[in-house]
Amino acid sequence: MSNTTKTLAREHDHARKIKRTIGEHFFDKFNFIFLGLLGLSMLYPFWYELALSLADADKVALSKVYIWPEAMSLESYKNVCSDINIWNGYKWTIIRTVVGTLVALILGFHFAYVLSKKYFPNRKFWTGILVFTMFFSGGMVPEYLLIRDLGLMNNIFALILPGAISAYNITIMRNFLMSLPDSLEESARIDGANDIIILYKIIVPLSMPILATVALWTAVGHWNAWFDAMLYIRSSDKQVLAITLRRIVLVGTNASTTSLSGEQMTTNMTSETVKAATIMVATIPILCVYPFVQKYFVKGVLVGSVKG
Amino acid sequence: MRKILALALAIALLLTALVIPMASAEETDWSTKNKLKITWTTYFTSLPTEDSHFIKFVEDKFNVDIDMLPIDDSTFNEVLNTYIMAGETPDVIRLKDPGQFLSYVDSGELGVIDMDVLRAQAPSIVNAIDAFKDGSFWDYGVVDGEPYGIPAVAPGNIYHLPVVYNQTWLDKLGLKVPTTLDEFHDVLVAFTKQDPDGNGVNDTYGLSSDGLRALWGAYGVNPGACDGRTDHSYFQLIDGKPAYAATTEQYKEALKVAHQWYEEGIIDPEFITGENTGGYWAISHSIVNHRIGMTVRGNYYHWVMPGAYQLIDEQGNLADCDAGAVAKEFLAVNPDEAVVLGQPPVGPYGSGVKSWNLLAQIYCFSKDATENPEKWERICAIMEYMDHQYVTDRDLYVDYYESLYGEYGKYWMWEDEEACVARTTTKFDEDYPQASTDVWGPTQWGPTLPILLPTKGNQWATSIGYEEGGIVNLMQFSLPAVAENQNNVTHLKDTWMIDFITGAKDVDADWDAYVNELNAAGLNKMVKEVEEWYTSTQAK
Amino acid sequence: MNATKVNSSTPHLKGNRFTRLMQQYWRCRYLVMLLIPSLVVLIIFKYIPMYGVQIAFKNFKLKDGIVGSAWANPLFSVFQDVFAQPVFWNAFWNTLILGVMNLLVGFPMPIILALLLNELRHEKYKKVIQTLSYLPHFISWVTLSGLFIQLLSPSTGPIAAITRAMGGTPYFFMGNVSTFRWVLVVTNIWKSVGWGSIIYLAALAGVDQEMYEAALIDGATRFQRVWYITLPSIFPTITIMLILQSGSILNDNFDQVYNMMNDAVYRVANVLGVYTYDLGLKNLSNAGLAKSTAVGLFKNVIALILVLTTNAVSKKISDNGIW
Repeated sequence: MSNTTKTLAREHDHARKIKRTIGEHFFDKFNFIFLGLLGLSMLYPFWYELALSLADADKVALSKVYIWPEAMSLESYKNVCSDINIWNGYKWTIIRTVVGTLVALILGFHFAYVLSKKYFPNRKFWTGILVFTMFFSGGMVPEYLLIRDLGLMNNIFALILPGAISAYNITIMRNFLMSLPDSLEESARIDGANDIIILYKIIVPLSMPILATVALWTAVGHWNAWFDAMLYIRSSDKQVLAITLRRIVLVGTNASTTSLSGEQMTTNMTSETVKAATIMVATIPILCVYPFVQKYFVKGVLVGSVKG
Repeated sequence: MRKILALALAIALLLTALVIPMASAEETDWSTKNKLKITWTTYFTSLPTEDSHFIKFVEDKFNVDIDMLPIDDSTFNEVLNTYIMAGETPDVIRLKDPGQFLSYVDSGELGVIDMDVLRAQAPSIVNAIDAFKDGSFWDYGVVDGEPYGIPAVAPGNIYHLPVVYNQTWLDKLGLKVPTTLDEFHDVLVAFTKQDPDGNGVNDTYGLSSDGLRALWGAYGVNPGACDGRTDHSYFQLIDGKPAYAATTEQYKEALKVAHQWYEEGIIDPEFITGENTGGYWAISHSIVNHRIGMTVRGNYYHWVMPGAYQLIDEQGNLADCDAGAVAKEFLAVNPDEAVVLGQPPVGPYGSGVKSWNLLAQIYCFSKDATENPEKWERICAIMEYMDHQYVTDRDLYVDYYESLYGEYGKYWMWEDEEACVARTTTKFDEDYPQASTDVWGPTQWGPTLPILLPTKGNQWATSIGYEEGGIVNLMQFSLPAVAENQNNVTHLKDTWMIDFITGAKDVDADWDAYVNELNAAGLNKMVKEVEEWYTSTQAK
Repeated sequence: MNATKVNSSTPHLKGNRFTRLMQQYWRCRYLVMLLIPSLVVLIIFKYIPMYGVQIAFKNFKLKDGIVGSAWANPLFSVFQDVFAQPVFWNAFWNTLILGVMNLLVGFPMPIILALLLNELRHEKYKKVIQTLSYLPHFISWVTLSGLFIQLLSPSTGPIAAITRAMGGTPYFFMGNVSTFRWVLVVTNIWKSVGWGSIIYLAALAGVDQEMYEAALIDGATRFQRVWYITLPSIFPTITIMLILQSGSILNDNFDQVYNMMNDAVYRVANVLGVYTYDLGLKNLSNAGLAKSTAVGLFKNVIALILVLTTNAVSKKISDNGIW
């Protein structure tokens, strides 16, 4: 199916190569260069942090590091990696991200599927119940009391369940599901399949692009979240990475927002190189997820399944 | 002669009381008493693990189970509020912002301190606060006659902000560190016009946003830098009455001078985005990168040049001290140059630059902590012991440091001959690499005490006269109306300051509009509250 | 069993409305089974804590707790206090203006990026650019603001150098009231455009390839294919994103504004996030907690109205919407 499409398109483009207008030619060149420059500009701040993290703070002036440090050192990485909180944090952040994303996807996708069915009774009401939570929430204290009374303090599920139902993500998934043609289901129904079978056999494979997108959003959200962990996780060996990251990165930058206290003034500052190394260590793993997600953004999934 | 002897004896007794405060507390054997659970908040740069040496040491020594709440400094209030509203007030609260103290007392969740127990178990804390400014700082912890809090004083804040010049530039232009406002002006003009960095381009200025503090000080006021963050409301006694510094006549006069300087081109036109472009807060990138020749930013120890004083190195020899954190960056960019710290220039209303508030935090306690005598006794004893840095008899702390770091001489040593400051060795870093990011836990458990450690660095700052000439805020903490309105007011004050300096607004013509807008944003409420507070505390 | 029949509400189904409804639910029992777990989580974790909202209408006293505090008299007195402040309204309008600018200029950008990426012929190159484009999403505003201040500096910044080389006078973008908002909008686009395009890339992956084949055979130009096939195919996604985004017009990006602002531009940079931060509403004062809840509620009501309006308009025009 998509193979023939591709060859056809290629042949056609090839045939058009001669015919391609000057405008199209110009557009292709422009597009190529423009996106390249944009990509470079977006790489830069990341590159800058990388350069900073590799700089030898004893030999180079950090405010003069722009592209690459003149003297390099892995000292900052040694420093960061020797922090037991980082490794503990990794463990819990990975658990949180994986479990949290799975729970959110399972609960959310089912919710979205039900809401996408035009014949589901009181559909508007159920949608309304969901969308309402996008705008009104109780605030920190009632949520805290709830978690405590449920006995979830110091439990990883305190970080997973409260955010598991995201109205935003569910609305987007629902919208995607609604755009799938009804004809897909009808043939299955004639074969006697029920809603659950249809969902897993037909809908889920078709929904990979949107599932990948929402999974990516949720995973990154979990990876970076810290405030709930600060409220609900009390023991340091269960603490997530983002908390340690914040503590290391924020020392020294925020000090001037309030009058300095005695400790802040005497505490050795965390060097900028260590901060940059911490950012790298905490960010790179989540970046590595993207290539796996990217493969779902390939064209032609939909048509293939309809016909197959 | 007898009188003198008696006096000497009295002084000696007093000193003994200060120096050997541990004697009474040390003798109690806590292991025979009940094991207690205490929740504690403190400041740390890295989360202490459950088996952190520090916490273990305290738990064993005092027979307690410590629950260190992992509260991030930047969201301290929010998280603490949640705990309090959920009925889980921590036993020991290091109240980060003293301005919040009155609200917390008002919440009814704080306990009244039993001063007798505190005096018995934590004599060095009580004595030190008693001895500092006639014990007047205790008043910050008292509400309606009842003591709710222990004031924590940051003793290092007696030193005012550093007045920093690029010494190489001064030398090159044949100038000296200025002492009067006129000389100061001449230096700034020379920095701007005479190409002090010798690159043949007219790209230097005299000063930027932070350096202006020296000008304000010459007019006797500190209206704050115009970055909306570093300084909040400054109240000063002007003619015996409390006044908001940025609406005084002195400030108005100084603004005219600032505008004139701006017209002359000696103020960096980019002063509105500040001198720091990110990273460590104390760095002035403008002076490091040769845009300006003087600044008033950070603290003295940030700018110490290598060799300003000497410390004991690992081999036990005297060696030059390292460069301060900002001086290090300056030297990395400009290896052959130097900075020099001067005193603020004298102008028509004297001289001075800001010094930070001495009142750093207030330590307060849950009702459960103060109403349970056993628990309160234990807390007091722990705070007393853990305020180790502030006791000069360092022999008392050898076992403490040994339990923490290991063998003396191998893993740690004293930093100089006198002060109670320990320093770990390179051997320690090799054997315990994970300790470098502070997994040992918090170093500060109780309030910091108003005793200045006689470290070499502090001695050096005293020797260059930095104890004198600071402009101190009359309000060491924020009253409720001040806390509620001061941020808006500060932003507006800064907007106007920038407009007055650049000439977008005229000092004479628009002054009333300026004062009116500040008042509408809440300044009048703030001033009224401060005046009431001042008259009521003065009446006492 | 055939669920599509339910939709056409079969006439022989009589009885009262309740039993009829129950019958409808029975027909969808598998869907109900799928819905229940999500609904339980939703009610427990989102609806139960909602009683906290009442703080905004109470004479809140920490001692008495949320439920125990007395109702404010008059009920809206907390709101009246907030609305009486000129600084609040300054913040409100600044937020609204910034929000509208972000929506008008910022919203189309991820779509354009996704389309441009889609037109790249070189697959590997496309993947590399895609990956690069979402990197800024992971760098904090604290770091970025420092870089932008240097980049835009009229004396030392590279942009100023280019301006000077071309004979112009460098402009102080960060220090001028008239340009500061644009600095916020443009930097915000730059940071979020790659990440925002992900949803459109996913939507593009669902575009029917047969249509392209047909268009190719008909000899449609590139532009025509984009205009008549690609855009209409992802139009439902665009609408839903627009509706959802319109609800966040008042959600200023505090981290961005606070880190980039300076007091020369305070009069335009004072957005609701900065305002609430400044009021010290995070502090523990009874009035502060009530006020911050009130400001939050005010923002949410406006956001809900905006979403409902956009939804209604979109329904009228295109039949796409949340309801």
